[in-house]
Amino acid sequence: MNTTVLSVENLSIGYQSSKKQHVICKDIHFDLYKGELICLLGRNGSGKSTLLKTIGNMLPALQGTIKINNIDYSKLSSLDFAKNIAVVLTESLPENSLSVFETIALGRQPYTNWLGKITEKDEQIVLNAMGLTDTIDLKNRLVNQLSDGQLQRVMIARALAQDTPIILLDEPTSHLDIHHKINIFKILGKISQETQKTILISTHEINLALKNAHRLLIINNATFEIGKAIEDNIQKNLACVFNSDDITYDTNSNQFLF
Amino acid sequence: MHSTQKKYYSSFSFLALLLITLVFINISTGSLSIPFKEIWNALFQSSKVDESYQYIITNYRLPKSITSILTGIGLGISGLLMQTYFRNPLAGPFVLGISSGASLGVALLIMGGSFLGILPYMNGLSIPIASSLGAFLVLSVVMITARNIRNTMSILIIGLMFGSFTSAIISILSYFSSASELQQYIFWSFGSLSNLQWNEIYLLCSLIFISCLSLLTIIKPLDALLLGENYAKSLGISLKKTQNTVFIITSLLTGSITAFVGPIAFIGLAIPHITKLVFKTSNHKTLLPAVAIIGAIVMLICDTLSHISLGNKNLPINAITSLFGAPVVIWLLVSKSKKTA
Repeated sequence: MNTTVLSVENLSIGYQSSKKQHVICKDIHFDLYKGELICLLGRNGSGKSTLLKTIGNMLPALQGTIKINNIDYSKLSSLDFAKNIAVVLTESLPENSLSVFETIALGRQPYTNWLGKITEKDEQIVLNAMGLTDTIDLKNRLVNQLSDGQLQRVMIARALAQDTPIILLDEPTSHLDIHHKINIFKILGKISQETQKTILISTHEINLALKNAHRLLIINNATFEIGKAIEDNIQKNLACVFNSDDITYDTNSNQFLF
Repeated sequence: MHSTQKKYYSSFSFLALLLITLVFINISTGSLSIPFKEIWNALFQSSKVDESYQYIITNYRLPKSITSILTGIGLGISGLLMQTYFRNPLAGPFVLGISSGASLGVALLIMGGSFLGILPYMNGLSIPIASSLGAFLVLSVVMITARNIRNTMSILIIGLMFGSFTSAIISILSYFSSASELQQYIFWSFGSLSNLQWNEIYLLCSLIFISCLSLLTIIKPLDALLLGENYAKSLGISLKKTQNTVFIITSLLTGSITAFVGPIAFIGLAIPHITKLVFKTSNHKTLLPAVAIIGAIVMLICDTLSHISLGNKNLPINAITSLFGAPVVIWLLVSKSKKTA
């Protein structure tokens, strides 16, 4: 039984400048279900980040509707968004002296009182998030002194602490070595399974996505496709997007060879 | 968590004690030095005190100490707000054009006064009024220009551009003004903590109190901004509202201080850095009171130093703040990077 968490209808994404609209992709339709891990694939410049930003309410939709739990985006306040969607972004953090615990605890802001007091319940949620992301032993370290892999896990923990049904991650494994890439995907898989959160990841790690994602979203030349990795239309699309002289999709092993 | 909290309590009590001691030293220092016992009597047991001491303390020394404290609090907090909001360690209370506006207002009054024909109407309040008007005018222009700009870095640069623009106008005014007018303007730009009457102190005190109360509403957004604008927004923070509150509080604090004591340099930029090196936290619930108390302490020290007499002259406060403050900040930063290396 699939419960729909996020539904996107007839969506056009792109940028609005004062004079004209620059549409990157249109007629986007899909539903995301509870507890699902979805990977968003596409070449550079295909609109992955734009789609994530539109879903994350950081960019306005040019057309169409997006609904969370059947409520239209236009009816949600910024606090409602904060309680429904958490994000992990590619941008680096400004210079600060926050500890790992404080950083993750900032995820509790939508629920804390006007002074941002962390209650025992908040602390418990933060500790749970640390447990799921293997960051407990980093608790008192400063975020500015972490390695890229550790920092990414902390930022995922922060998103978890925000306690939202949906988490969006924009290329969470860039800058990471192969061990940490696999590690991050493993953690995200565990989170979606144990917490039943819907996790949408934009990524260039096609093979890891094929292996770990429940479904794939593919954006290519302003067209759009969603489905399981084993479905025909997805396989055709994958081959069409990424195949070249240097890289080919192998249908037997379900992975790209290069 | 709890051990660091305990550490903060002890740091705060130490700083409070230091502040009280410095108030006594500050009141005692000057062309006539007053013993601590007399100060204690003058403040708390007015029957036992020598009348001339009482007169000096209530009319000169105490107002000056309170002004120093208020100035330190206000400029320290403004500096922290600007550095957090712009996420730039070089930002200070004056990046929004307040100091350049105030300077322009005062320069117009002093050096353009005879030309504009307003000289006969000048009195004690003319300079604060001219300075407030100038600050308000330039601040409004900066705000209106910044209204539709998303990028906070651009707002910072716009503020700096207006600073250059006004200083160019002041240069032109200086070029055409007489030596005595120029001297009067230069003296204003040195800053002075000892010109305030009690009613002016009450006014300044209430403005700073109101600003500090409104700070409570933006502690959460300020903490969220430590992660950057996009993360702050994803946590439900309204950036526009936060920006407006931060700008209004900063203008109120910096504007009122500049109007009464002149453009005090350096303090607003340096105090947040000193505080962060002492407290090693980014949490604004700790940082804001810490910045206020350290700001007050540093201002008192600077004022005391400026009243250690050289012959019959006192050094200008604006020279002291940079002369002694800059080496301290450099030393702190160097010793910090040595420790981490």
